[in-house]
Amino acid sequence: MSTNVKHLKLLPAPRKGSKQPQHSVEFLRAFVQETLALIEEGLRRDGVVRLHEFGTFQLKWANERRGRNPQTGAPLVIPGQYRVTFKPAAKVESRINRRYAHLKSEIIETPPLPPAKSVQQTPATPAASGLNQPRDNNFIPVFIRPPYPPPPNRIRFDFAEEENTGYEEIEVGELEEVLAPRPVPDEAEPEPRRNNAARVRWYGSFLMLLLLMLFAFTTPIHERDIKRPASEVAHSIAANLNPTSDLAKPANGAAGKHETPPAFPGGTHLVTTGDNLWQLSGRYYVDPFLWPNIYRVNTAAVSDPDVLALQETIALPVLYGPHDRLTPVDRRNIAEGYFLVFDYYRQTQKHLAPFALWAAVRYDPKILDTHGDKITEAELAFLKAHDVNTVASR
Amino acid sequence: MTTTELVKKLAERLQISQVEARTLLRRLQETVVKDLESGKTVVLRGFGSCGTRKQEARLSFNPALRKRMKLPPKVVMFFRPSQRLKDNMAAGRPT
Repeated sequence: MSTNVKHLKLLPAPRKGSKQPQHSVEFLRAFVQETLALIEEGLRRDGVVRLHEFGTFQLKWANERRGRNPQTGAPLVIPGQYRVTFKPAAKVESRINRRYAHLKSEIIETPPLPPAKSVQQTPATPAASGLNQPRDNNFIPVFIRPPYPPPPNRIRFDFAEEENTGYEEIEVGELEEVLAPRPVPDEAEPEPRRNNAARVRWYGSFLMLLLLMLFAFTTPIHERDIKRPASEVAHSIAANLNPTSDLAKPANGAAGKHETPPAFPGGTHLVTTGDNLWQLSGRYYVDPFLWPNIYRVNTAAVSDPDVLALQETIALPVLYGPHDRLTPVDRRNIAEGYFLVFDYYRQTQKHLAPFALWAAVRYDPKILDTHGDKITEAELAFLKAHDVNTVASR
Repeated sequence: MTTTELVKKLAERLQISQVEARTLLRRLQETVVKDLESGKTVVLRGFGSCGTRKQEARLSFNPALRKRMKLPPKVVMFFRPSQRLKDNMAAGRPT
C-alpha cells in the first residue's frame, strides 16, 4: 500500500520544453537536505516553521506520563518532552481528502430524555445537605447524551465543592440516587488515605523547611575570592607555628611529654568551595566546636573567622587527646583560640563576643588569669550570669 | 520561521537566486503532496515520514448548534518525526 519515496525520487526534472533550469541529481539532493536542515534549525530557534500552502511544523510540550515497556510490559515513566508536530495547510487537507469531500456532516435530532426532567428539577429538590449536593452548572447538558440510553452509558460529574472526590462516574439510571444525599460508607474509605497522604506531604515539606533553616543558620560563612601569594601564606603559617611564639609554646612543650600518638597529628588543608572552620574542625577533629583551635594558628591568613578565602592553605594544629578526652594542653589551646575569636568579635560583632569568651572560659578557666586585664566589667558580669562556678572562684 | 526566511537562507547557502530557491521549494512540496494524494507514504531520511490514513465516520457534538452530529469519513495526514529528530527536539528550543 505505502511506498517509500527517497530523496532522489523527489523533485522530478522539469519537462524538456520548460524554461526552468535543469539541475543535477547531486544538487537536488543537496537542496532537499538543506531544506530539511533549515526546517530543523527553525524549529530549534523559533519552535515553529510555517510553510505557505504546505503546513506548519511546531514543537509541542508533552507532559510526563506513565507507560509500559512494550517488550517486557514493565511500567515506566515517560519524561515530559517536546514533540515535533505537523499540521497540514487547509489546501493540502482538502487535496488529500478529495475522495470524501462530497460528504457532509448530518445533524441527528434527539428526542428529549426522561433524565432531562430530573436535572431540571434539581433546584426544586429540597433538603439535600449543602456539601453532598452537586452544583447545577457542573452537569453536562442533557442533549449530549444519546437519544436512547445504550446499556453501559456513563456520564462524568465534577463535584467541585468536595475536593477529595474529584471525578466520579455515575450510571444514567442512577441519576436520581445521585441527586439524593449520597451514601457515606462506600465512599468514606478512600478519603482518609488521601488525607493521610496530604498530611504526610505537608509534614515532610515542613520538616525540609526546618532543616533548611537550620542549615542556613549554622553555616554563616561565605567565600571570598581573594588570592594571596603562596609565599605570604607559607610565611604566615610558619610565623604562627613558630615555637618561639608564646601561643605555640605549650603545645610544643607538651609534645615531648606525650608518649601516645596524638588524636590528630596536624597538617594542612587547601580551602575549596563550601569549606569553613566549623566544618574543617568537624572533619579533622571530629568535634566542630574545636574550630577556634584552627583559627588560632591561622590568624594571619584568616582575618575573619567566619570567612575562608578560596585556595588558601590552612594549617591544622595538633590535637593531643581525642575530642571527648582533651588534654590540658588542648584545652589551653582551644581556650586561646576562643579568646582570639572573642577579641575579633569585640571589634566587629559585639553581641557575639561574650559568648566566645564564655566558651574560652569553659575550655580553660585559667584564661582569665592570663588575659584578665583585657576583659571589661560588663563581660565579667555576663560570665557571672552564665557561668557562676568558674568566675566565682576568681 | 516562514517560507520567505527559509527561501532566503536556502538561496544564500546553495548560491542560487531566491526565485529559483522558491520554485524548487514549491516543487518539493508539490512532490510530497502529490504522493500523499495518491496514498503513498513519503519518507524523508533522517527527518521523518508522512502519509495519510482514513478516519472513519463518527458521532460528535456541535456545541454551537447544540446538536449531535454524524461526521463523514475523512482522509487525514500524519507526520512521524524520525528518531534522530525526536531526540534532537526533545529538549525544546534553548531559551
